[in-house]
Amino acid sequence: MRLALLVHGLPPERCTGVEVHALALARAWAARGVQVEVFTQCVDDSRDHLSQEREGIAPRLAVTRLAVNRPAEDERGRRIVRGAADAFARFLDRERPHVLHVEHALGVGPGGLQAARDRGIPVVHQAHDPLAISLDHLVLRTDATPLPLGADGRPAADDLARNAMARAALERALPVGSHGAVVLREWLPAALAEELRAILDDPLTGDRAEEHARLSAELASEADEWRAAFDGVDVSCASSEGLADSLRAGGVRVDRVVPCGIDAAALRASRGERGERDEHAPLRCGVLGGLRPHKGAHVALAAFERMVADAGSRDCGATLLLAGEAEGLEAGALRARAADVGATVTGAFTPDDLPALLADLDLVLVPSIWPENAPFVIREAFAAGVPVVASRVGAVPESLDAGGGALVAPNDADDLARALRDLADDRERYAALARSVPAPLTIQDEAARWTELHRDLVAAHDERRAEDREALPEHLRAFAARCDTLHDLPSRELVRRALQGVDALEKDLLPDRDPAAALAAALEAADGPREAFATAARAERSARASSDEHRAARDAFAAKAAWREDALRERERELAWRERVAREAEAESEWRAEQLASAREALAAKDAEHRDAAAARDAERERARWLQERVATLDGEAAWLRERAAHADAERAWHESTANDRAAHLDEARAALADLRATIAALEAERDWRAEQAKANERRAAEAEARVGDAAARADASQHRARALESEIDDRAAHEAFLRGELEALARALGVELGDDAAWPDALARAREELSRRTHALSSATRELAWRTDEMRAACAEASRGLARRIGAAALRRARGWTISEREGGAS
Amino acid sequence: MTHREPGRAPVSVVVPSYRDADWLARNLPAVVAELSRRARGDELIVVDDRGARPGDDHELLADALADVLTTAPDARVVVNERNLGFAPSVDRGVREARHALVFLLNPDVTVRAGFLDPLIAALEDPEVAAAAPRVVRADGGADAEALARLAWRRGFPALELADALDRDASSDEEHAATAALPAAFALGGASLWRRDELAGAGAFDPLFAPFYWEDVDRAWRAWRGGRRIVVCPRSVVVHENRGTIGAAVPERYVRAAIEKNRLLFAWKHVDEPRRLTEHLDALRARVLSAAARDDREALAWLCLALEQGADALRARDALPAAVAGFDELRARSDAGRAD
Repeated sequence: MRLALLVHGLPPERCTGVEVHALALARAWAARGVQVEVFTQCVDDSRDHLSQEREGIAPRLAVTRLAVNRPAEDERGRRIVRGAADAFARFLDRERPHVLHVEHALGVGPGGLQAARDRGIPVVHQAHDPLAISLDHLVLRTDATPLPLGADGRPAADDLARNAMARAALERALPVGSHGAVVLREWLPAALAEELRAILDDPLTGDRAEEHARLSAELASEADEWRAAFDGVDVSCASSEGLADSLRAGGVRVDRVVPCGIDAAALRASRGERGERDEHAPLRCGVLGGLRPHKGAHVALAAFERMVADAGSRDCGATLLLAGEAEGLEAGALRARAADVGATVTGAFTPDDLPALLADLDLVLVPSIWPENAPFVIREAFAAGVPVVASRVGAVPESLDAGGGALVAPNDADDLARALRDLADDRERYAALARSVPAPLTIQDEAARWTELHRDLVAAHDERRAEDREALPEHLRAFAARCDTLHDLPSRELVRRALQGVDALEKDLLPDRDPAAALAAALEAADGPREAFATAARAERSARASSDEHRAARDAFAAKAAWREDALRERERELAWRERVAREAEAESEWRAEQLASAREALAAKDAEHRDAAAARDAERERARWLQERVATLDGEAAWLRERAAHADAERAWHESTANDRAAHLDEARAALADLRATIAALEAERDWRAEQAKANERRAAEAEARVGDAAARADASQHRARALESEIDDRAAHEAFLRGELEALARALGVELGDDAAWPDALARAREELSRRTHALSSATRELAWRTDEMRAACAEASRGLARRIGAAALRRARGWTISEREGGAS
Repeated sequence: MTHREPGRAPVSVVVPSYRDADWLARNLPAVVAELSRRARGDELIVVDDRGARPGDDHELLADALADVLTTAPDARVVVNERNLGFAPSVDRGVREARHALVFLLNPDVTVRAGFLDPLIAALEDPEVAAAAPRVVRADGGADAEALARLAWRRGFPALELADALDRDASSDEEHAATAALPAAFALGGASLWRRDELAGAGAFDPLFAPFYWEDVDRAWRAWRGGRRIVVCPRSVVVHENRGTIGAAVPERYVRAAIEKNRLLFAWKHVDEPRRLTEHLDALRARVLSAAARDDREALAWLCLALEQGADALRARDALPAAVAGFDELRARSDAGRAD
C-alpha cells in the first residue's frame, strides 16, 4: 500500500507535538511495510517559492517538501498558502497514493483535501486541534484570554475578526518572531496593551469598523470552507474524546477517536537511567515544550514562587526547569521572571534530547491555559515514568484517566502551588502518583490501528472500482482493469516503465542505434521541461507583479493617510501650543492686574499716609507722582495685555476652525480611500467577469461565424441555381411566345378561331385541297409556259434565219449582241 | 459466373450489435428496403454481442427487431453466448455469411438507397480489397468522413481526412462524377469486403483489442500486399460518430484504447529506419515532456501499449514482405496527396 501523509511541518524545522508525532507515525508505517510519501512545507531560500523536492529519508519513506518562502500577505494567507493546494494536487498526481492521511492541513488548506477527493483518493483526517471550528486553533484571544464560543459551538466571526486585527496591531508594533499567536498583556508596553484591549473590547469606529466588517465576512466564509473540507473527508477522526466533543458541538462530523501514540523506546530507556531516587531528595519540576504564553510557563513560575515563599525559611529544595523554544518578548519576560524566582530556563530541544531531559525530572508540569488536546508531553513523561501535574483544560483530564497525574485549575498559580507543595511535602503521595503512571500507547500501536483503517478504505475503494468495471461490457473489463492499474502507479514508476519499454523496443527495431545519441535527440525534441518551466516562471512573474502592484497601491494610500494624520497631529500640536501661549498671556495679564490692584492699594495707603503725615508730604508727593506715573504705565500695559489676550483668542478661534477643516479633509480623504478600495475590488471582479464574457463571446462569435459561412455558401449556391432556373424559364417563355405567334399566324391563314379545336381538321383538309388544286393549276401553267417558250424560240429562230439571209450573220451578231452568249455554241 | 453485370452480385450484410436495439430499429429499415429493392438474394445478419447465456432472462434482440426483420427477404439474428467485442463479433457474422461479399455495418450507420451497387462494382477489380461508401456525418450536414489518409505527425501515425472529396458539394450528383478514390482504410462500420479475406487468419488482429485501429491495420495489410482500399463517393451512408462505443464505455477507456493502438500500429507497421528513428525519439521526448508536466495520461497510454510491445513485434515479424515502404504506401493510399 502507498500512503500519503500530509502535515504542515516536520522536525528538525518544527519540533512541536503534531510535527514530531507525524514523523514518528510515518516511520512506524514504513517499518510496517507501507510505502509512505510525506508532503510538508518548509522555508528554504535556496529554492524557488512553491518548488517541491522529494527526499528519501528511510526505506519506504520519502518526504516531499514544498518551499514556502514568501511571508503570508494576510490572516488567511497564514492558514492557506496561495498556490499550495495546486502544488499538493501535483504531488498527488505524481505519487497516486491509495490513501491520503492528513495529520494537519494547515498551509495546503481546504483546496488540498478537495484535490484528493477530485482524484478519488480516500482521505482520512486526524484532528489534533479545533481548527475546523475556530480557525484560531488555540481558541484564545490575542491577549491570551478565552475566545468565547457561541451557541453553535464556534467563535463568532466578529470575535475572530477583532482577534485578527489585534494580532496585526501587535505585529506592527513588535518585531516579527518576538511573539506567538497570543501574548500576555502585562508583557507589553502600556500603550500597546491598551491598543489591543481597545481593538478586542471597545466598540469600533471609522476605518477599524470598516476593516472589521470586511474581515468578519472573509473569516466567516473561510470557516465555512474549512468545515466543508473536513466534512467531505472519508473518515473524520479526532485524537481525543474531548476534541471530538468540541468539534461535534461546532458542527463537524467526527467518525472515530484515535488516540496518539508516541515513540516510547528511547524514553523507556531513560526510565532505567533515572534509577531509584532518595525519597527525601528535593522535587525537580519541569515545563517542557514551546514556552508560549498559552502553554502557561508564566503560571508555573508564579506557582513556583509561591511554593518557595510558603515554605518560608525552610528550604524545600525544589527546582523548576523551563525547557523549550521562547524568543524575543517571551524569552526576555520569562528569563527575568525565572531569575526572580530561582527557576532555570534552557532553550529549544529536539526529540532526541527528550530522554535526557526527562531523566532529570521528577514531575512534569502542564500548566496550559488554552483548551489543550491531550498534549504529547504527558505521554512522553509517562513513557519515561514521570508523573504529571496538569491544568484541567480540553482533553487533558482524559489523558490522566488511567492515573499518573493530578489536575489543577487552569491559569491559577495558587492551585498549582498547592499541588506542588503537597507533592513536595508528602513524598509518599508523590511515590504513589509515580507508581500510578500508565504505559502510554506506542506509536507502533497507533500505526497498526491506522493501517487497519487504511486497508479497509483501500479495499472499499477497489471494490467500488471493480463494481464500476462490472457495469462495462464484459470484453472490456480486462482492458479497463489494466488502465486502472496503471492509473494507480506513481509517475516515476510510469516513467521507469516507459523508458525501459522504449529501450527494449529500440533494441529490437533499431539495434544499431547509439543510446547516447538517442537520448540527446529525445531531449532536443522534448518541449515539456522548457515549456513547463517557462509557464511556471510566467505565472509566478505575473502573480508577483500583480501582487506588487496591489501592495504598492495599498502602501501609497496608507502613506497618504499617514501623512494626513501626521499633518492633523501637527495642527493639533500647534493649536495646543497656541492655547498654552494664550493661557500664559492670560495668566500674565491676571498677574499684572493683581499687581495693579496692589499698587492702587499701596497708592491709597500712601495717600492716607500723606493725609496723615503732612510733614512728609513733600517727600511723599514726589513719590506719589512717581507712583501715579507708574500706575499710568501699568494701565497702559494692562490694556496692551488685554488686547494681546483678545488677539490670542481670535488666533485660537482661527486655528480651531482650520483644524476642523483639516479634520474634515482627512475624513473626506479616508472616505475617498475607502471608495477607491471598493472601486478596485469592483473593477477586479468586473474585469474577471468581462474576461469570462469575452471568452464566451469569442466562442459564440466563432460558432456564429462558422454558421454564417456555411449559410452564405449555401445561399450562394442556391442563388446561382435560382438565376440559372430564371434564365431557363425566360428562354422557355420566349420560345412559347414564338410558338404561339406561329400558331396564331397559321390560325389566321386557315381562318380558324384559336380556341376552336374542332374546326382545325376541316380547315386543314380544306387547306390541303386548295393546296393540291393550286399545285395542279400551277403545274398546268408551267407546262403551258414551257410550250409557249418553245414556240417563241422556234419563231425567233425562224426570224433570225430570215434576217441572216438578208443582212448577213456578222451584222446580225453585232445588232443583237445580247443573244450571243445564249446562242454562241449553236451560232458558231 | 451468374453475376456478370456490375453491381449485381449478392451480399451478406453483417451488423455487430451491443445493446443497440434502438439504433437498429431506427437504421435497419433503410437496409432492408435497399436489399428488397435489389432483389438479388442479399442476406442480413445481426450479431447480438450483449452476451446471452442460455437461460438468461433478457429480451432477445430478434424479438425487439421483429417488426423490421419480418419485412426483410432474408434476415436473422445470431447471439454470442458472451460479450466478445467488435472484432470477434464481426468474425462470427462473417462465418455465418453465405455470400462471397460481406458488407460490415455498424448499428449507428444509416444507409442511403443504392449504397451497395457502386461498392460491388468496385470489388470487381481483384486489386481492390475493400470498398467504402462516402460517409456523411449525422451532425455535420455535408461534412464527409471515411476518405482517410495515414499521416505522419511529429513521429507518430495519425489518421486524417484527405481533402480530395469536395466536402462542400451539396448533391450526390456532384459526387457521382468520381468513381473511386484511394483511402488508407475502410471504416470498420461501413465497408464491403470479400468474405474469405475477412474470415479466420485474415480477420482483425486481436492485438488491437478492445477496439479502434483494428480496421486500419486490416486495410494497411491490404496496401502492403499491393492491393487497394477505395471510397466510392456514389455510395452514401450517414454515421453517428461514436454512437455505439461512446454510449457504453467511459471516455477515458475509449481514449486509452485509441492511443494505445496508435502506438501498436506504429510498432507493427512502420518499417523505414528514418521513420522508426523519428518515432523512438518522439516516444522518449514524450516521456520526458510528460514527466516534466506531470502528464500522467500520456505515460499511462504508453505503458499500456508497452505491455503489448512484444506482441506487436511478433505481429510485425509475422507480416509478409511489403510491396513498398511505409511512406510510399502512405502516398499511394492518400487521395489528397497533401502530406
